[in-house]
Amino acid sequence: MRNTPKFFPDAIPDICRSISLRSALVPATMLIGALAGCVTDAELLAENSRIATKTAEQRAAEELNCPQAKATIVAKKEVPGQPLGELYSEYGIRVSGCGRQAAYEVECRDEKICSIKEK
Amino acid sequence: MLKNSRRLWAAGSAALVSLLLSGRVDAGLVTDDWGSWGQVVAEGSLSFIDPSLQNGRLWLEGQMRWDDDWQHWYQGMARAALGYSISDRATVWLGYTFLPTQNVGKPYVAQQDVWPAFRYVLPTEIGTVTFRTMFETNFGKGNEPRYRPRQMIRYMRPFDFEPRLSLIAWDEVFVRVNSTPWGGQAGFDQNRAFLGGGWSFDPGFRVELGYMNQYIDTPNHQDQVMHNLVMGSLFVNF
Repeated sequence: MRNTPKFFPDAIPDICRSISLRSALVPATMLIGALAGCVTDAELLAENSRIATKTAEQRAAEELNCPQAKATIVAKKEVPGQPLGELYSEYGIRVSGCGRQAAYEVECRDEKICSIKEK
Repeated sequence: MLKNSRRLWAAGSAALVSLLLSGRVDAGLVTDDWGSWGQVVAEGSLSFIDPSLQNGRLWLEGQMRWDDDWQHWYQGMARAALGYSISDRATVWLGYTFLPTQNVGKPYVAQQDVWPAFRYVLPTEIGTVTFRTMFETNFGKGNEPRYRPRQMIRYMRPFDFEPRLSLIAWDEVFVRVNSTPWGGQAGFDQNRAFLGGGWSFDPGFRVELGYMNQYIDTPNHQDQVMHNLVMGSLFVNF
């Protein structure tokens, strides 16, 4: 006859013996430390907006042949990047100048890495 | 705000190093060898099927594993899962894993797992922390499944001097909830700790290379196996 698997009554004492207090405290400390400095989506989007608009303006300056082109963010959201990686800030940006307009999707990981999403 | 984080960064680094060094050291180490793991992990939205499936996610993964000082291929792994993005940070998954195994001196076995999982991405001032919880049901040689939850905590921090290059550190603990004749006694199962670097090409591709320590309790908890592994990974966002 098959034995019914036992759950916690068997497992808990073994688990407690196996995991030392020290090894449990260290990740807990790290977790608390990390949570203390967590960043909201709104903060990430605000911080990356400057490089996003600059990136769009630089592209528009070339494509519209208009160095004075000004960018406006019309949409923004945080999206997942590579698996087990960071979030990216994704912006919809409209750029206008010299009587012309262009629209871009811009993805920024942080204030240093930002690029136009090629369609 | 992110620029005023050096103190937190230093504290976080110290905690991570402590975490990686906090593994148990037992006397009954029966294997202590070197090897390699290579993996490709791809993930993306199901919107390529239909735009209404924007929040649906697909996770595909393949691994190859060598041990015995690179003399022996011992394991492959294929994993597939469907997920749903609760938010940009939180995703729930339901997946399947196939694990063909040929350990040194032992017959070939193939384990199959089904599992729900939860992943949460937490951007912080000192880097990105990711939590991944999986609750595996392992189907091995016998009729009885083994229940084995696993918890990963992962840290990623771009370097100031080259933002495409990141420090990567993670730890994952496995626990056997029940005792089975083929899967060992309940209790601690294994720990995996990784320290290395990652290079992000763009939002779609990242490679990682580093050292992973895999520390496994044998089925009766009397002895331990340690694999020192060079681990290379390719992560693809589609």
